Amino acid sequence: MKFHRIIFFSFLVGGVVVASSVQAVGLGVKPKKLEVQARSWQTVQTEFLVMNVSQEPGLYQVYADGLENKINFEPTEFKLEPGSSQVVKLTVKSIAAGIYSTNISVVARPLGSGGLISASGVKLPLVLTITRLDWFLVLAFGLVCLLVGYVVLWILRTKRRINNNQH
Amino acid sequence: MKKIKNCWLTLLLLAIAVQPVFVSASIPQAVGYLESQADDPWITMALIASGQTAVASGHLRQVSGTSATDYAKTILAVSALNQDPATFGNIDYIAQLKSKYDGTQMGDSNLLNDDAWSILALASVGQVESAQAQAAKDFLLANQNADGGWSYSVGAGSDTNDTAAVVMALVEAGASADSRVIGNALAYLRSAQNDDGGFGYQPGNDSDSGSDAWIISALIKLDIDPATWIKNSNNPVTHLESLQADDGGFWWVDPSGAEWNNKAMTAYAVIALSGFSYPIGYYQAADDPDPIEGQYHLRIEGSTSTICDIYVSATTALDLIEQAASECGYSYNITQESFGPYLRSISDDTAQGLDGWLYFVNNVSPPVGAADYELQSGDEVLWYFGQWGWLPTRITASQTEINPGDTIGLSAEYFDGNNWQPLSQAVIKINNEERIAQSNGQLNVNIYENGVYQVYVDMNGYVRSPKKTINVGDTVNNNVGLQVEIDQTSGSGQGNIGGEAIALVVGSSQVSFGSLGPGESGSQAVNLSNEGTVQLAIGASVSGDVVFTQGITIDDQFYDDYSSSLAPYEDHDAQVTLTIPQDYLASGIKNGELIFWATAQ
Repeated sequence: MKFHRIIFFSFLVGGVVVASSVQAVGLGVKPKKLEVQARSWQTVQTEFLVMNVSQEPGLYQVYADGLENKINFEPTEFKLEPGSSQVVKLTVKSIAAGIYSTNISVVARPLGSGGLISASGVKLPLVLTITRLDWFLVLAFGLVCLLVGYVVLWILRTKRRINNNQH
Repeated sequence: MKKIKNCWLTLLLLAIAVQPVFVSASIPQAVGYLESQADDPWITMALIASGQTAVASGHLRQVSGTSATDYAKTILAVSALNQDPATFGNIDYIAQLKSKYDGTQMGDSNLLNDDAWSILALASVGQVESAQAQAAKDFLLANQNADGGWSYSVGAGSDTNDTAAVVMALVEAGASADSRVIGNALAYLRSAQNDDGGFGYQPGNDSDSGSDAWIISALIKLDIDPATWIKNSNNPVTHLESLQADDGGFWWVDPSGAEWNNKAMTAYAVIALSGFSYPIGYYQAADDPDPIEGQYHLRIEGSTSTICDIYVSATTALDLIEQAASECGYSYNITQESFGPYLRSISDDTAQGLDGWLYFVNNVSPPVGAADYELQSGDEVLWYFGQWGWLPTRITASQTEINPGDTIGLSAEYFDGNNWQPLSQAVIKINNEERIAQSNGQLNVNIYENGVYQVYVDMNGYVRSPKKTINVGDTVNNNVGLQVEIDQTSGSGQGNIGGEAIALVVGSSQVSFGSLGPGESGSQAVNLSNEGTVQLAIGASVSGDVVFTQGITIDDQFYDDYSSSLAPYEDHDAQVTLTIPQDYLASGIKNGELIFWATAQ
């Protein structure tokens, strides 16, 4: 018998256990879509809820399919007991103006490791609408700063002049 | 109370005794890793177990859970901080946990793990003899599998993680380490040990850090040195240590052969390698003097509510205000005046006119300023916002657990500097409802509705009293009054996250094709169930060994092309088939991962 060409895809014991028990790993994610609006170069935060909707504890992982360098999650990996949930915070770092679209992947895996694992995943659409800075406001802010600086300078000079006169 | 104290001391001594066994793991590095992660109850417990003192606890103050384990883990973490889980957070966590009691067991009647964690949580607050904990114990004993282990749910196959948790719970609930029940459980765990010394989730699974950690903690609970559980010259401690990464975190499984890996088990690993079992600590009630050397009881009564009620380390009465600020989440302002430091404000209560911040030590106004009052062992400090001459009050209850309709006697008193005296016509608040006591300070009330009631004295000219919790009914099923629990799974739930939920459950966590040779095929049905409220589009991805990435089909479509649709609450059996190419030469067990992806349509 060509034993070396026989392939085992599961543990014998594990197979029996799996067959004798109903194991299911699942997840729920709320909301079903994330839409984030921000101004360019602004850091913005939002959050979503990950729930273990199955009757088995599982390991959960969160990651972004795109914009990986601009999106942070906290936490990214966690264990959830049946019926438990975890709020995941999403932070989008400074980014140029534009409309960005990607998916957030959330995967629920069973605790048993080895063989072919079947896992549940949810793709949560994320749409980032980043608008440009309002240059008129920036200009106005700059003018106000200049004006305040001028007034402060004038007060300091006036005080110095009064002091000089007193001495 | 002494019993609890002895337990606490025994646990600490045990930890110190066992700790030298685990010297090779870098706990400080693991602490650094945990501190960089988002706070959760397990991380809090791990940091305390590792000897950290300034552990963040703000995340434990606003917990709104749905399951018994949500509250159990919160109680365990709060107890580990030696704080009272009944008053530490926005709601009474102990009452919430007890409300999950259905008369025969705790939480979901299909689950066993919530019973184990409920027992451990109740044990951490000295309530292991309660009806809830004892019923949970009986439920666990009735559901031990023939192999000696337990599962997370009723009727399912044993797993090492839940068996370890149940062992710890049963020991807390009074089971002897020499009993047959525990002996059978240990035999099951022993049978699951792999040649690398570690444990997998179930016998035959690869060893993982979570399973190692749970079993090490269970063995510590039984006073067994985990390093003596040797297989093939390896033991669970050495295996767990081998999984520590350079950043201090612990990999779930050996990264050299893992298709997917993570460090989510680091907190459990730190707890186990620090020599701790569960509970990490036991809360000692305020009437136990000097619970931990160097810590003092501080209560701050603001103009409208209690701002803080904790134990904290400090040197003077004023120092307490500074030391407790972050833990109790308030801001304060101390100004330097000609007579010395002056506490001007705490949160929104700022000294003005005759109103200001004043303090008592053991219900007596000390003759020195707060900055000069050096704390003595057993001191209890009360800061209040009000006027000079106000007196401290207290309330006592004839019972703290009654049946609906029963009469309960409440007594309001004030401290005159020497003795407690009846407080005539005292205003007693029962949650948000005001009642007036008789001239002798007594008030008899009948409470008809099940629930958790907080009673206290709150009247002008006196300092608000500490709150006393009254549980009404066998099954405490709600909180009443000003306390509201936010349901996180419906409406605008936890963190104000609203909207519809996407929810997918994959009915088999492992796909088993048995033994296959070249040219042969095997298949298994995998149930996909839409548990949410929106229509789902289903896709699939496969990773891992090439035999999977090239040979898997789902419902006769190559997995990459697979798509289907599931209406809310609809399910479907997807036929997963693996075909081994004729020219495939490799052999052995192959690892891979099949993910079913759901997207809202």
